[in-house]
Amino acid sequence: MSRIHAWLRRLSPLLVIATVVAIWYLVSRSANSLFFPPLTDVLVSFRELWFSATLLDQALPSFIRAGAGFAIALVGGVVMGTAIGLSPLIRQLTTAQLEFLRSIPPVLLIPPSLLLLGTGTQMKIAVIALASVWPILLATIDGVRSVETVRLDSARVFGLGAAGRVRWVVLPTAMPRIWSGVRACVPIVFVVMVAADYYASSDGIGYMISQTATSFRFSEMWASVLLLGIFGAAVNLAVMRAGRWLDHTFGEFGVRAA
Amino acid sequence: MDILEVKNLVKSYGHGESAETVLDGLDISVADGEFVTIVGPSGCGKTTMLRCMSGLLPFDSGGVQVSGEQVTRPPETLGVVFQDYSRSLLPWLTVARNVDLPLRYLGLSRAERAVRTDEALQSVGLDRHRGKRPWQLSGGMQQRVAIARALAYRPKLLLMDEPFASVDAQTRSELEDLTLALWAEHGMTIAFITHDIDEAVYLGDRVVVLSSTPTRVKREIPVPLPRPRNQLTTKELPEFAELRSEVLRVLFKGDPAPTVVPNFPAS
Repeated sequence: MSRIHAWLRRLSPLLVIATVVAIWYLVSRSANSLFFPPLTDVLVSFRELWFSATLLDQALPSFIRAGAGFAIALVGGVVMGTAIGLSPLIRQLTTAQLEFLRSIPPVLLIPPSLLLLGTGTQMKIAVIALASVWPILLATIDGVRSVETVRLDSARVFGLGAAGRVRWVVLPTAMPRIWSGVRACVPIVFVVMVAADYYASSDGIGYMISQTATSFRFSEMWASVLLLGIFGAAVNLAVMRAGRWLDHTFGEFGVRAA
Repeated sequence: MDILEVKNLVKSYGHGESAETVLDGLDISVADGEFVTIVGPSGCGKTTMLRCMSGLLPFDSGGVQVSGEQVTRPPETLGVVFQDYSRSLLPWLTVARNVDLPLRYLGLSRAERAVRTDEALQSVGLDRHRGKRPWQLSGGMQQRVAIARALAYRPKLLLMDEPFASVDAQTRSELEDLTLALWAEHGMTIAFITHDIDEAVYLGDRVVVLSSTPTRVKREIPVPLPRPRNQLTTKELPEFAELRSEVLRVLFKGDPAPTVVPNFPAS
């Protein structure tokens, strides 16, 4: 009995997905709307678009820009966050600016960046990085400040210099919190990636969506949205899995359990 | 020669009107090879004192010398065993890696580090647990890891800050005897801070009694009990009881006398 329950529990998310797809299929099959083509048409478009060179031409550039922007945000956020978290002086000097910058809605960064950096790949990567750095930066500051004095004291007594303390004590202690910042920044990366593609682009998944939508190729538009959704879910799952592993390795749960 | 010399150490927190003096002209000296225990009422500036002595906290005036050198940052000849083992050990490193980590920063070869780590873990009886994480061990065993880390570092002077305050009574006795054995074997000097009077008398060559804040030394009481010491026979000696009472009397003299003489529970 309990085994059946366990199976049901494991299968239930899949069942929900199957139900949603089934409803989509049934409703769209009988609908006559131009905007909601039948699911089968969408799937045909999906295969034609994304199991072909279009994947490399149109989707890949977006994902590469997103990846590059995220990587810059991660490294920049952790480095700056560590410096700000460790130094009360830097913290004092930057708090006001950080509060100002982080409250700017990410998409608003695009027009001024267009003026400053032009319309190229560079601009898009910069905007993605600039928009997604905040959660990582703030989480890192928080995590770095949570390191107990005793932990730093014992590292200092046993000869670890500043770099050694950051490497062996500060970053591992802050790791679970840094990762919560990463989790928060993933959706921002996606939003800004698509939004940046809308502006002055000749490729990218957002470009595809805007092009197909304005030229009444709705099954292709939905196929693009579907790809974006699948990719987003996969990235989220990977980030969650990595987070669980990091929590297990660096989390304080062991300390609490002892 | 004195390996640790604390002269007229003054430390206060805060500024102006609200400034609070924690250490008020502390004088302590510890000779090479000596085992000195330091007791004080709870809430006296023991932790501040330890942090000043180990170069972790700048002080206002006076001086601290370790091996004849003025302390401005943690000296290489100094090791510390902290009370809070769960915080002072790194939970994401194995027992062996916790012991090994400081040795990397001494610039030792890989082989030398391995030898020192093995020896240290053996002398605290933990070589079977070297691959575990600290939090998988009991409190007493975690503190053994902290002791092993200090041993492998081979300090001339070992500061111990209420190291056994959060383990149970039996484990505490075991760890006390382990500490005495290691001290005798390695020829270290130990300054041992505690709030347990029995422990102070049982371990030390000399008990330094501190006042409540602002902290200074009230008195130093020599402990001429024979070594090696033994949990049973040493504590049965009439001299042990007399010394214990004397420390207690000094501890409370001048401070508001407690109506019931506290039994100083283990933690």
